[in-house]
Amino acid sequence: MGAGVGKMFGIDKIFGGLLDSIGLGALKPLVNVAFDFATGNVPGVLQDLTSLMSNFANGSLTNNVASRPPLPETFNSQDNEYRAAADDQPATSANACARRQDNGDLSSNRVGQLFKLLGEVFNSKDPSEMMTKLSDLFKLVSENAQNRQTIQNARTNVQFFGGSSTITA
Amino acid sequence: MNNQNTSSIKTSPVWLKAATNPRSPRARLGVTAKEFREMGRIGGMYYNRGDLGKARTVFEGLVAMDPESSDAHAALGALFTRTLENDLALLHLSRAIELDDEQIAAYVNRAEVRLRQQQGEAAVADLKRAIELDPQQKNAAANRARAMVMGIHDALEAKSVM
Repeated sequence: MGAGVGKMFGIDKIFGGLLDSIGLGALKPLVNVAFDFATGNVPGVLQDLTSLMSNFANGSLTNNVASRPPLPETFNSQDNEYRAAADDQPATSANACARRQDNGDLSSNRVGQLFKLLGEVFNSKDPSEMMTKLSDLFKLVSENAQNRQTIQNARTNVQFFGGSSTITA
Repeated sequence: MNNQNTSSIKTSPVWLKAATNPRSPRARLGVTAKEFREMGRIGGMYYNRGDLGKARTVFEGLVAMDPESSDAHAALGALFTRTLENDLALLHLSRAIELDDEQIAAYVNRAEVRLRQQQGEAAVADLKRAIELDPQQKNAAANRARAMVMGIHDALEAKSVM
């Protein structure tokens, strides 16, 4: 392995570019203290690992690598809040607008229900920290739903006026 | 920054324990799996935008709502990894893995924290597990693990040459 893994995969000076770009540039000084060469085991383990990556090409590295500590896939929302709901729907362009309008179950009304339930289901014996955390969560979700509705209303207005101008033209 | 919120380490298990007894708040509130996931994605949106305060509010709320959710713990652990709160990160990432031993993101983030804590061999074990769980090399988190392995190897090699 004298050529180094970076060179093996055609990626020279790996710390100079790629790892910096995915927020791991600080790894190098840590590595130097994290491994004990006296045991001699870790480099061997690493060598085993590289065999698991035999086809890991440069393209995979630059195109599909988490650029920050990754979230679980189910919570990943790379683009915006609409993608989450869209992912659960059939991929047809015809109902794209409707999909945005009917964005999952977390409408303002539903969040309002949850708030109400929170007050009814839990009483003063429940830990206040938990209540605070749930209350804060619902406030944020509610804020998000309202923002979504505002954006949707703006979109609808744009479509309405856009449609009018098309007709008058 | 590492010890920014160490007081929460002491308090977290208390409310986690209380929240699980007798039924999780999620069950008592009737929050569906889809709603739970959607809330998680709202947190993910804040996280990806860099609004970590709001992301933390969401992820902490989800852990409080369902302390048995591996995803919620993994997300909160990712956030603490990002904010360099190592002890809190380890707490939630390890719990996420206990609840779901195929939680790739949690392994990758725990490896990063363990590297910071100079636990090289434990870090490599987590990276190995993450890589093995994604043989198709399609998972961005597992690919981060691959990039880390390459980086670690090159760093070690550079050191041995010196």
